[in-house]
Amino acid sequence: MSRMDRTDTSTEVTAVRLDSVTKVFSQKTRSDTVLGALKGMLKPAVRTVRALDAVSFTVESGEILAYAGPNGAGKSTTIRLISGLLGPDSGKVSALSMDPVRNRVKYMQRTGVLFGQRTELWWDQPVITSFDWKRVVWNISEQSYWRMRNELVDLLDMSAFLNTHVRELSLGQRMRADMAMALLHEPNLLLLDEPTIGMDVLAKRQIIGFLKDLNRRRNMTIIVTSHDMDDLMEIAGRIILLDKGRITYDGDFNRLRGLIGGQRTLILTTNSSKPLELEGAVYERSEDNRHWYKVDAERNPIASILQRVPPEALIDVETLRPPFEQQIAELYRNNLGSSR
Amino acid sequence: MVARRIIGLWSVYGRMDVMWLLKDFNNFALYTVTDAAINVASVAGIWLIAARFNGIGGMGIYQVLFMLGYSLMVNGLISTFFSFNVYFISRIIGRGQMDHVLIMPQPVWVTLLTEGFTPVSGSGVLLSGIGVTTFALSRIDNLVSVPFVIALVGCIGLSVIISLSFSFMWGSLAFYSPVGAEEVCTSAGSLSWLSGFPLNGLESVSKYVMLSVLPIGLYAWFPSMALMGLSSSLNIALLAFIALAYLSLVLFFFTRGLKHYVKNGSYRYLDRGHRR
Repeated sequence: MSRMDRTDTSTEVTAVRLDSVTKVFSQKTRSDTVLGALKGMLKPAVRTVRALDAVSFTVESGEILAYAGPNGAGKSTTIRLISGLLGPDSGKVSALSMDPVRNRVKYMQRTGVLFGQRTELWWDQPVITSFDWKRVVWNISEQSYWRMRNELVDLLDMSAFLNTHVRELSLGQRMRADMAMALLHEPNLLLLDEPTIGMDVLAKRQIIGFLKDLNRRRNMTIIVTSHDMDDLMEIAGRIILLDKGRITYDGDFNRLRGLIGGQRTLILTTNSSKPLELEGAVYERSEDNRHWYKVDAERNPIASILQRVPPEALIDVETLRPPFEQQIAELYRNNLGSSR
Repeated sequence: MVARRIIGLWSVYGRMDVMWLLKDFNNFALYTVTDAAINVASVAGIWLIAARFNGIGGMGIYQVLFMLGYSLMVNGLISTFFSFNVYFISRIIGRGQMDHVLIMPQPVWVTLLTEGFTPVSGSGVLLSGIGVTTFALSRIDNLVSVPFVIALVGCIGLSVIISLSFSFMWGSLAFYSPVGAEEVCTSAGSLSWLSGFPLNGLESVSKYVMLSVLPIGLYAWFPSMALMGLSSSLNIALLAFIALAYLSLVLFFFTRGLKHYVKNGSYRYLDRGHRR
């Protein structure tokens, strides 16, 4: 194996391609009675779960793709397929012009993988030892190693804890060290599964800023999954939404916002505990003299709704924009997202 | 090229092992004392029985000690080269930690051959084995010669292959039942600590079982008997044949299991024991 000294970037136009990829898992269903359990041992009841159903998409080289969906949608399965940890039942996965399973050794030399709830760091060693270990296992040349290490230590602000044992790090510090581990070999493709999970706001900002910077300067292709839609929106320009193994949306965030509409919560404080009936606003609940309404501000501008409120009854007005995640959840519930 | 890579990896793991042991004085002192106590305990039982009865099952005291030393060297090599649950591979598989192996850009066998190398913290048993064997050989007349030493080293290598293959064969079950088989290698491995006992007095059926499907006898007794001239020297060739058979079987089962893992994935992930 030749020593890595890659200062060139990938020449592939398409970094990742999934063609009608289907992945089905079998799950044994268990009985809650002893007799049922005994029967189940001899003849287990098996149900199949279609984790991915004919999923197709491409990711261009240098693109940042956010991959989102509710629990069980198939996000992690997709990341595992692209990582080569899992093979598809049908269809084809290709990344960096390789089959991730068949060309695993060569492919992993050019790919970085980070699972937010796992670590590649050696727990009982200083962070720096894990970096040295990575240099040998990934066969990184001395020159590349020192260049990347210095750069990453600087960008991720790690110099203070470089010689600290991994088990003594805070979660934010550990994630930064893990992020550096995933990047030390200068991968062309970076796969991140929940990279900001459990992190405080400051640490999140640092990681997000770093990823954007990395993508801009190195033209690195990044696929990132997260439950936090606000994080994803900040990192990526394009998002794929997944539900029950199928793509429900593939496009940019702005178009998605358009699909969602201008959902707002309108809170009126009036001189009465009885809510007013307002055309264009859906009443939700009241607390004393405060009344909550749901409004689609694009269809029914707040100003026009307020014109219908008698001025003498109105004491105060508040409007709230629901978190993006809540809006996405609503999108799933209403099955509106069937736009590709 | 591969050999150079393996040596490079052993070197990195060796340095990490030293650094771990030297991380603080308490760690160093407590680990060294407890490791020494375990080593003494593992030797004392058989040594005392052999001394009390002037041998066991037709073997003289120094022949028993040679066999004990052989067994310790086999177990010691395993704990030196295959720590971090590599020998107890069912834990790695059952806990979904093969993912970490698969994202490394090198063949799986290279990772398994190198990742468990602990030349300092894991070598206590090996050093005890070398000591006991040297002592026993100094008391047995007309045994040590160059061909004998070559045969001894070869037999130890074959016994290590058989012990590892046995553990990996059972461990492959964890590909299919991660929870149920997570600790199967612990049970399989516990057999190896019985390998210092001579099988001479056992009835034939038990003896054959322990020389085939539960190969405890192949870890020390069977090769020691041949090396000391107490059984046919052709048994060394038989040992090589059995080692080859075990190796072929484990390659078959492990490769199939790994394909199953990549096809079905692991529904379970525990970080317990991973890189600790």
